[in-house]
Amino acid sequence: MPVSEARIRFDLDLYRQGAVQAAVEAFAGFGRIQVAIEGGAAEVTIRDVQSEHADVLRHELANYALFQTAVLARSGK
Amino acid sequence: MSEEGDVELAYELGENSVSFDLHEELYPKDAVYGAAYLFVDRAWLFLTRPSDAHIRVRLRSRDAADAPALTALAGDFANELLNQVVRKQVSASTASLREYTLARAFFGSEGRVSIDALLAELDAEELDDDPLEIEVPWDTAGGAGV
Repeated sequence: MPVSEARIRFDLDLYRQGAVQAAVEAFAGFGRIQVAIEGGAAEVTIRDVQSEHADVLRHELANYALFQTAVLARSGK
Repeated sequence: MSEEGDVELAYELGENSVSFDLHEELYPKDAVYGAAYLFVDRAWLFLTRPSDAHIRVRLRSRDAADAPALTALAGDFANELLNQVVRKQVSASTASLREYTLARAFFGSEGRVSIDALLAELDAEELDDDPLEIEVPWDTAGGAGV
């Protein structure tokens, strides 16, 4: 099966770093996911995931990171 | 792009997605988060910062969606965004009143009940008076032979 690579760049002024980390951990079972912090952004790279799932996984991971950011913002953290 | 940019939220339609820019002075981040919180089950959302004090929101439909459906999605998000802004403003303007009410409820002298007062109230009760004879054993009350 073909494998694909997907990248997402989160602006850490809009996304909490802890939320991005939580999203990476939540989706770790779906592929090899790495996060690198550079220049006020968190660059998430998803590897070894089936190409037909890569796009959905990228969107779901981003959604989860935003959801967690909203939860943290609501609780004042 | 919306043709009535001055009165409506200006948005851009993409492939199965719709994007629009918000000025942070009008729509604070907390309001954007509040609206996003309610939309994660309807769409895939992504936030970027195209310039200072601006937030770009991209809503991507989970299912195939045509232009009217995407426009409706953007409109619903904009309405919820406005709702969140108003909630935030009302919350801020009534914060001191809420704190005052809470402080009165917890620390006001009228509602304050001390342990000593509760013990004195118990002492004052006539515990020996038992008109319903609840404390009388069953056999003494004549029920043993039943």
